[in-house]
Amino acid sequence: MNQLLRIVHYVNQFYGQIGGETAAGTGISIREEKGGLAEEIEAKIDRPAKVVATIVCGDDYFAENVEIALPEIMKIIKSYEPDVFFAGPAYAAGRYGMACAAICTEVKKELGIPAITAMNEINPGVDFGKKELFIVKTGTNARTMKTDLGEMARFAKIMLGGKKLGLPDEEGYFKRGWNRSIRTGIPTPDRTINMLLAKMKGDDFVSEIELPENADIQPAAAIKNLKDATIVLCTDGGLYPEGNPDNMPCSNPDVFHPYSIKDGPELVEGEWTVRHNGYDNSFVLADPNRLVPADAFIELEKENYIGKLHDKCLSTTGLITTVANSKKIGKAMVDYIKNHQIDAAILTST
Amino acid sequence: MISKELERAGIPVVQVANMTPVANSVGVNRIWTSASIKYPLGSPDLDPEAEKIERIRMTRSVLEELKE
Repeated sequence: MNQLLRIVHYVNQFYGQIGGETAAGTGISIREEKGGLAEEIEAKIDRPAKVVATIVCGDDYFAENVEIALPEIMKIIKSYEPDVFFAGPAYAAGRYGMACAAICTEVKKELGIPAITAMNEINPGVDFGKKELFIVKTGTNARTMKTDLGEMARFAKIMLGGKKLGLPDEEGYFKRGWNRSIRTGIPTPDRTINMLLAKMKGDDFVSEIELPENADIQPAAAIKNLKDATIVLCTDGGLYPEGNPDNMPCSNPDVFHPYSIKDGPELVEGEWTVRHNGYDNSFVLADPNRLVPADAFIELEKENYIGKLHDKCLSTTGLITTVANSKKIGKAMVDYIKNHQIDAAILTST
Repeated sequence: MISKELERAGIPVVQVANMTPVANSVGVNRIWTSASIKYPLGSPDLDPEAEKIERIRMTRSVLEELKE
């Protein structure tokens, strides 16, 4: 326990006191003499410790030469046989944050030692590294440097002690996308009702399920003239031809299939089946048009309200579907739509 | 999520969904609130002919979203 703890620290050109943006192209260098940050880290770690090396690298140099810089930095890190690796804090500096996250991820993978960085939520390094790493949350500028280094040291001590960090909000790191079972002592129905009551009263409460962030995607251009447009019907309500010819599962598929809705089986009871355990299927089974409104679209095509209804419906099942699978299905639909001269889509969900 | 991939690729899509908070929270741009989770474009209380007329009306309204 009293053995000297060996630390390697990574910083960019600015914190390595080489210079600002104009020095961002500077390559890799190593400092063994004690700088300000190294002293601070040694003080915070609260046991015999030495920053055996500070690796300095320009942000642009790293970003533009990752294939060379990352292995080179890894080689240097290994040569110092560290017990702990620190990178940053990177605050809001994007390239710096990406470098810190990339190096920490690699150190964790190759050396299996605690690899800790810190940055602000707007830093793209967060998304890059949060799944693998414990990234300390910081503000956007270095005013809080001492506190942030202290937090990084605290994380290192917990991890070196073989203990688990607490929950993200308690400890101050970015959520990593994992679920952890905890005992609350309060049964689920009680917690649910308490949240509902709090919401009705306008009190604060924290949902146990976090909805994904509203990602900003520019709306696709509008269809000015429906009369000329070809439109495809898509559904994640799990409608498939009777017999389910493609063996679609009742939940979490990673594919969709196109089924003829113009010249194939009519959308009537008995010709179609539903593979979706998330809603009462009886109304759709009785009339599949209630989910995939082919009858209405065929009428609207006849009266030239729309140009054309694509002759197939793109069907999948949207139930307990992971984000990864949803994206995969979405991308496959994009390919299909682009290959079939389709202008717009209507996606019906249950 | 499917809608997002389509819009990201420049394909306009109207999502017909009942749980609009979910669609909103994942950032769907064009949402049309459906009649029900169990029958998005249905009106099972009507007789079949009237239901179809009502569905055509709803469908027009869905399609209008594409124009914006």
